[in-house]
Amino acid sequence: MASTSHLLVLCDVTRQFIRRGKPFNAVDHANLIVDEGEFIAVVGRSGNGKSTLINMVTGLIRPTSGSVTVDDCNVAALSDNELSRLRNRTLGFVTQGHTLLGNLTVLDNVILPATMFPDSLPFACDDEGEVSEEGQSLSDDEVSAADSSLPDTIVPFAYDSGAKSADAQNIQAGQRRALISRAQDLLNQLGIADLADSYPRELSGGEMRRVSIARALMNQPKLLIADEPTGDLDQESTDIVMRLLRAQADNGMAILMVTHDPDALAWADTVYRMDAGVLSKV
Amino acid sequence: MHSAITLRGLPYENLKRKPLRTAALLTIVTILSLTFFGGTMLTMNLNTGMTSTEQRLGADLMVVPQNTAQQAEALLTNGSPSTFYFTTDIADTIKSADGIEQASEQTYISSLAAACCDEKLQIIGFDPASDFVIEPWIASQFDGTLQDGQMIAGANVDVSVDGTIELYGRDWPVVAQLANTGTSLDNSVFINTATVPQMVAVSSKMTKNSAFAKNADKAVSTVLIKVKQGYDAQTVADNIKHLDSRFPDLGYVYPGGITATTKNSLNALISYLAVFVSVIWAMGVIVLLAVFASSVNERKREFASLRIMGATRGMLNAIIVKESIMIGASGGVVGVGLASLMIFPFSSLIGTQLQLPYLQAGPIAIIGCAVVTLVCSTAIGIAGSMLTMWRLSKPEAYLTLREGD
Repeated sequence: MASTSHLLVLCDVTRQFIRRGKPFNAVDHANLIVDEGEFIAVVGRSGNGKSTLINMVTGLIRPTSGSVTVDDCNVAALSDNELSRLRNRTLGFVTQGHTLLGNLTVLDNVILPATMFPDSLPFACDDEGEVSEEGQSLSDDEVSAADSSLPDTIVPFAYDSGAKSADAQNIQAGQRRALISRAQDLLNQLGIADLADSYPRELSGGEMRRVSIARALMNQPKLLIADEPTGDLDQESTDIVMRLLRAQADNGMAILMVTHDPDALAWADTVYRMDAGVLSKV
Repeated sequence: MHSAITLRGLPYENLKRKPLRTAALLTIVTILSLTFFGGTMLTMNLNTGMTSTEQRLGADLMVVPQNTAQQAEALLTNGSPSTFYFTTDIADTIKSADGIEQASEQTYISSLAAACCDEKLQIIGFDPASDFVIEPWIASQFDGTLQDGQMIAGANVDVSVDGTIELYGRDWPVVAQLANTGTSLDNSVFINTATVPQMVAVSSKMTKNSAFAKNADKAVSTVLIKVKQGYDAQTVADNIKHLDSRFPDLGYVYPGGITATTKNSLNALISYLAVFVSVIWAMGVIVLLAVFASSVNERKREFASLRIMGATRGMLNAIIVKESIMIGASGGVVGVGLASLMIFPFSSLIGTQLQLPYLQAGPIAIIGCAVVTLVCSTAIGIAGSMLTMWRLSKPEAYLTLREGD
């Protein structure tokens, strides 16, 4: 089958559930390869296994048989820390339901994923991994001294106190600026920049959906998984979102989108159909 | 400039944005810490008072006049001042009994309301030469010799700026003031035996107690006895009773027995306190668990969201524990503060109302108790959140969320 150099490889993946005492395959021997820059859409009726498929890609569900490989990592074999890191740094996930944090503003909701692991994100560094103008990053030595598997509540930075504390504060301030700038830019691209200080309860369904997309894009994931990303959107908003996703794909991000929306399908490179758990190319 | 959220700041935001839930949890933890700290401090102060009483009651046996044993006990614990006496010939006979190591006489005179004090004073005459009960205690705080006409004042006695106390229309010089004991001795003044007749003479003029005045130079309220090694107080009391046919009717007070009686009252009170605190804590823990359990469902969406963003289970647990610690520590501090406002300024009033030895524990004990309270209130918060963490350890919150959608 496929080599492991692809970004996403589903190899003969089956997920079985028991319903009323009888086993059935929600996903039945599915195979799929997604490379960088590919925009894949999956269509199919409700209950045909689309969500189960993407939940296996994100590691929320383990396959009954077969393997899911993301960025050369067998998802089922990852520890909780490794899987979380994969979700945070390699994957972006636009969920079907509304999962914004009600206690945070729109801007903070978008920024939060970028604060979960201590090492710098691509948009805060230049090509050599040096400190960028907006957000300075720690050097490799400094980063390596911290346990990257630990949350920032435990190990925020591997920085010495005392003489380096002023530098550390400057770096943190620089990183904060970079995060805010990145989040505001995404909100702007999605046409909701004016909602940055609003709370989720003040938003419409479509606005929340767009905030979710901004959040999923915040860490510049290699693979964006979108479960009905245009479900609540009007035509104009759908166009804004799909144009953005297309641009991301053109810049090298792989996108795996589950949708019922025919308008959204037109933006994809390849369309697959999911029928009774069987995945087939349209 | 917008201050960007961090994972570290998320627990604070969660608490801030849920003011009702936070206030409810804080109230519960505050009540728990208030009852725990308040109850423990009361218990500790009563125990300290008891220890102080035991230390001050250095005698193994007190022999007092007929029907005055209860007054004597009250006088030594936290009761009202009294006047009772027999005469020195009886005291001398008592002192001749077998098994006595040391004996000393004391005379008790209850004052009228004095200018110095809110309540009546207990005037205690003692013989510095033979005394083995008060003198060691006084000696720790006054290294001179108590001269005739001079006084040593208990801790609660207000001595005027010129170092005197006005009693029965006369100013008495005070040479020292003793530390707090939590007993009625704090409301007492001490004079030597030679000063007793002077005091009786002036008091009798005011109180018209001519009988007492007549016996002023030979009035003795109690004989305090320290028994020889190998004897117990009961045996010595029996020996005394055999000395004279009238002696079985005398009052025999066993400081160990007093403390036993007082201890019984004290233990009963402490038991009530313990039950009260336990019930409050049991109810509080149940309410806390219920609040946390209900918040698991309420917060399922939040946890699902964090998981799909890449939060590890450790991060979620850290958020929950941090919230619990913030609630527990804040509630603990408020509870300790409120309990302190109720207990420390009203120490004397509490002691008076309880009619038990009540002495404020030392600062180290208070700080220790406050720390234990804070640890317990924080621990109870964490214990409550364990349920949430346990629920989080079950299948992915996002999946259960999807099932519910």
